[in-house]
Amino acid sequence: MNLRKHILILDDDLDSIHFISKILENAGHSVHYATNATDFSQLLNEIGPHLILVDYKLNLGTLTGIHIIDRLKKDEFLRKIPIFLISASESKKLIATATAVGASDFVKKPIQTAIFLQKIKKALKIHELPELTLKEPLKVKCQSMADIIQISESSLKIKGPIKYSDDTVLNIDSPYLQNLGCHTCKYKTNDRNKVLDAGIYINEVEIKGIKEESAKNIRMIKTTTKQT
Amino acid sequence: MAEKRKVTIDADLQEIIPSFLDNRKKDIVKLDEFLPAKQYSQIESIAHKLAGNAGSYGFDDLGQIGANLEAACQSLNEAEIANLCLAYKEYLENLEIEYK
Repeated sequence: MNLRKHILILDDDLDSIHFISKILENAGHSVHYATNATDFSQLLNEIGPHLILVDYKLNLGTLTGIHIIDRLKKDEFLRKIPIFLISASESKKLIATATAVGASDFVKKPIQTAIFLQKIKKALKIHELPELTLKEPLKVKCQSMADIIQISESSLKIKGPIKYSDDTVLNIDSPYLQNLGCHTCKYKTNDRNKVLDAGIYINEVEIKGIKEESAKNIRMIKTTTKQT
Repeated sequence: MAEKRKVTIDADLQEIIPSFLDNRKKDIVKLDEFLPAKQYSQIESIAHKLAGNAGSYGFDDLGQIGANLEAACQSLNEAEIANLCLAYKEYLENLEIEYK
């Protein structure tokens, strides 16, 4: 995927932020930054970054970058985002602590641009397709074009780019079904959908509340088809 | 007059260098205030950031001045702190940048 990656920086030093932003933007990334915890939390929720960079020495009272990483890694939804700790110190103790709380990598200041970009590239590649476990099934509304490829009095099959889950209620806007008098019917998917090809699915849809006149119209289609 | 100190900086960073150097001038103003008042923790804070950032931007020698100044503040070596504050000031006064 070549989507622009969003990287969020938490640092209280604007010179450091400007430098990191510049080299990341030159590398094609979208950079956001915060110099305090409130702005950081807000941006975190607004952006949903692919990667976070946290400076160790923050002007946030007793809070250090380690505390921030520890908190983020304990969050069910944020813990999969890779986080780098940035520090001028590279003491073994600091690196061990950062690793223990879940930092993905460590960046030493002064920053060596080539090494830094390599680390960023590697982390983004590993986390390219993040897995998120949703607490509740996500309900979405979507619209797509599809072909009706088979119809009976009780069901129809539609071919399109979406594989629906069971019991999905569909609103089908079709002049063809309207001509058959099926515009008042309810349509609901069942579990008999299948993959036809990459990104093409055939979904079986049950027709509910069909009127006798409409059912007759459908039987007539069948008869006609058989005769030709 | 002291000899100019030529430093080659990555042309990709040209846009952000003026802001970096403006902030260094602000550092000097603060150091002129903190040094006579012997506010070494404040000087250490400036030195720490300088040590971390200057080298990233390509000012390696300035970064080293920052690292030495930070260490001098930690050991409360007053003579060394004064010398390094002066070295910081002179570095900026004699700086000549070439972008490549």
